[in-house]
Amino acid sequence: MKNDDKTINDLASQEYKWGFVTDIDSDTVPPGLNEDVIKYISTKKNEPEWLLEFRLKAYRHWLTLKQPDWQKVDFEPIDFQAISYYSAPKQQKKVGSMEEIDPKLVETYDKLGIPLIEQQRLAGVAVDAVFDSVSVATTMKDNLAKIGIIFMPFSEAVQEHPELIKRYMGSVVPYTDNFFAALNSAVFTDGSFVYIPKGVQSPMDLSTYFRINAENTGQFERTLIVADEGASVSYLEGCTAPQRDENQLHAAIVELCAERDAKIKYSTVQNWYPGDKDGVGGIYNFVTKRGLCNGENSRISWTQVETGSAITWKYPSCVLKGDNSVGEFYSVALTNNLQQADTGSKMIHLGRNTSSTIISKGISAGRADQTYRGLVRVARNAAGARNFTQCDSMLLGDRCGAHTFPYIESRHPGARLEHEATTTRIGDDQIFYCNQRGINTEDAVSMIVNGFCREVFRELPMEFAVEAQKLLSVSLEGSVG
Amino acid sequence: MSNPTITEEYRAHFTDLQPDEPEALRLFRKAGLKTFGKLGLPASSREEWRYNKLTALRDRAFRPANGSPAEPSPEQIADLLLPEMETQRLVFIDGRHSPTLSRIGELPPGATVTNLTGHIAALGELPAGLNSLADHEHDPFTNLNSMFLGDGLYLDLAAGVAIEQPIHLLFLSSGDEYLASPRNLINAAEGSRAVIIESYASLNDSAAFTNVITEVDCAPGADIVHYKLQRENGATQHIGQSLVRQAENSRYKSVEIVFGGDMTRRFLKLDLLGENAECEVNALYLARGEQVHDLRTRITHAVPNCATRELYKGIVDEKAHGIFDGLVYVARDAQVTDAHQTNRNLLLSQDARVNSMPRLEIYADDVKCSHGSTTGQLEEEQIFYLRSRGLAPDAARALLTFAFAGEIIDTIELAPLRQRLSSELLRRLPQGELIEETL
Repeated sequence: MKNDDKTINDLASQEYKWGFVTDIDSDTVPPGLNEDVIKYISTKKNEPEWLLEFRLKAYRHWLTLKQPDWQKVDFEPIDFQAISYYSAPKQQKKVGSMEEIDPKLVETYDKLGIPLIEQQRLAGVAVDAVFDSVSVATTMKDNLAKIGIIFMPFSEAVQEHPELIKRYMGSVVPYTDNFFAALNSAVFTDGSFVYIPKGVQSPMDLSTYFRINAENTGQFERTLIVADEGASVSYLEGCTAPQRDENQLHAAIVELCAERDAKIKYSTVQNWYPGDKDGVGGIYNFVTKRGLCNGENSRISWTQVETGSAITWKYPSCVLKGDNSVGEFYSVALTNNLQQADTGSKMIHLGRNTSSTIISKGISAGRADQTYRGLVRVARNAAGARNFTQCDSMLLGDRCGAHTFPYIESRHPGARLEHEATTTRIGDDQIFYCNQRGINTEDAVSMIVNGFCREVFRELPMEFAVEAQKLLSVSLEGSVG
Repeated sequence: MSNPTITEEYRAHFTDLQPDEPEALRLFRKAGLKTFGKLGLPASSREEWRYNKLTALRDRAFRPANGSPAEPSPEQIADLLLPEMETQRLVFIDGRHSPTLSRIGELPPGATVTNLTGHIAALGELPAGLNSLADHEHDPFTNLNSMFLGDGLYLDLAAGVAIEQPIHLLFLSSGDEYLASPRNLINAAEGSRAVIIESYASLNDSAAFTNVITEVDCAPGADIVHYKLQRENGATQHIGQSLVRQAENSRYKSVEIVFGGDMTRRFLKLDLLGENAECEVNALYLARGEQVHDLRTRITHAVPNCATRELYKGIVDEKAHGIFDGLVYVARDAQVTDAHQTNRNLLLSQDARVNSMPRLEIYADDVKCSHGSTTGQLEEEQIFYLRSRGLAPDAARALLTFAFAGEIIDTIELAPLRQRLSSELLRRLPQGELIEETL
């Protein structure tokens, strides 16, 4: 075994490492949601009239909706009036350069392993750092601008590129899409905006790091990535939050739009605070993620490693509109203790010869419950559509649950759809085999779990792959024995 | 919301009925009426009715047949009576028992094969087990069946009793917008054995509504094989439920063949409540025209060491709609469960559609569970193989389609029934005549 492969035993003593709180003065609106709060957010961000209109329309629509309850997770109803919808660290003067950022923020991101100061930046990754409701720093922005790539906080993009925002915002996830999408559209605060112009291949990975810090707040960010004809980009997303006893809501929207021959790869390592071992606290992660393969031969691929959050509820999807477009979803989700996850993917085949792949690996431990829920829909004109879905679940312990609920809808005889799923545990014979060759049980479990997830890990960008494997081992703590 | 006037119409039909029957049965019907009145037809926003909109049932209420049914002569329905087999036979027309067409031969001691309502009349009370498995609290169709409870099979097998001849239940509809509400109750005591053929057909082309419930209770070591054949005409609405409870070491095997009906919904609920129980459930649905074939299974492994094999195959052609929704539920501590669920669909036409929802819900770790679903057309390689052996493209396709369906027919253990359905399948498949030439 390699030295850096920590054994489960070592890890058993570890706790959520990212659970600290940054003591920083924040501008936080009092809890509550009404049109005044929305107007306040909009004014604070100096938004144009049309955006405020959009927010209010979304809010009025949201008021007509009921919180959905079909998902297989249990939680107390959320009191939307008890959440503060805007919280930003003070010192909101225009930051000219990285050196002017509040040192406390820099320190926070350093602690999280995301150095913001350019000299110390991770080689070849540009980072947009979102702290509670605002983006506090975006690295490498200028270098990217030289080749025409726009990479900036959403609120800045609203000011500088209103025509792009107007054109693409809500085009993939309209505010009428679902309850949380409507809420987000009304109160979203910041996020990242990426535009890759025609024919440009982004020379580095772009990334956003989301951090919830303030108490009683929710995070409602919006990410919009547009890859114009022939462009390509790889985008990474990471997230953490402090350890608290109350639940916090994270309801984001991610919209991807790939034009002809464009490629977008979106990778997530989701590590929100999962709550303690008795299920107290933790983030509710209710996110709408959808990509539109708008042009021919476009390709969108979602890769995710989900270990955090008390409740995860999301279905990163691809709408395959362009002929020959490709959608992919690779996911490893691990739930431990009392975590719950209802997650999966949707692949909507509209164009001809579109193809999609879903590989989902779920690991459930402790008293956790995990559900794969997916939809593969082939429309009437999607001749030659092809889908392959594989959902494997691994159960560690006899108090957890793993469920698979696929929905398969075909309206074209030329489509070929395959779904398969298995549920297993680590067999005594497998452990015995490893023991016999001198590998102790902890290492064997770690090895088998990593092997189980390998198909997904190899889709991850390199930096993430290493992090993901470690994260998986940490999250497994106490579940084997 | 469901149309309240439909509920009212059914209520009016109910008041028209004044049967002379035991108090217990009257109360039973009334309870059904009360709950159905409350529930109405299921809203199509309900998850379990999402794809099957029950359009024809929302249009109008069907009425139960009154007066004595016009009975066909045995010659008229000779073929439906399965002349090639020795059977114990009960025939029902529009949900009412026809003694003249039925024929129960000699039975081993300890076996009762009779008409359910006749049995209730003789007994003066409801037999044990009635409504013990059907969902009479939440399911509208169960209550609709209860309120109009018709005749059906009452089968009681004492411990160790085996009936060698299959019990053939033939449910015929004479049309005229009749609602038939057959109810079958099967109590199989320890180590008993029986084979049941539950078959549905129409005497003409007019519309009807069949709403049937079959409850099967398998005691330890009981062995029940249950064939269900749906061959009603293309104007019939059919809602059929089989609810099965299995104790330890019992075996239940179900083969459903669905050819007929305008809308057919078949629901199989199986509870494995004793260790080492086994079940095998197979189905073939062949939907053409504008037929809707909606097959739904709920299999619960409540205890350790049970096994499930499920294979549902559909051929969906023209403008038809095939739906499969199957759940395998493995309860906490139901360790060493071995459950496999498969759904395969052949989609043959541009206007046809398929929905497939195979589901696993698992709360135990030491299990072997898997499921799979495929939807598509025939494999080009297979067609190529047959063509390279000299078959014309059409013949190759027809033969492969036949083979696809044949996998289910082959699981029928009764040879005469298997042969009968195999040739019937040939007649019903597109270009079946080509296959006959090829074979």
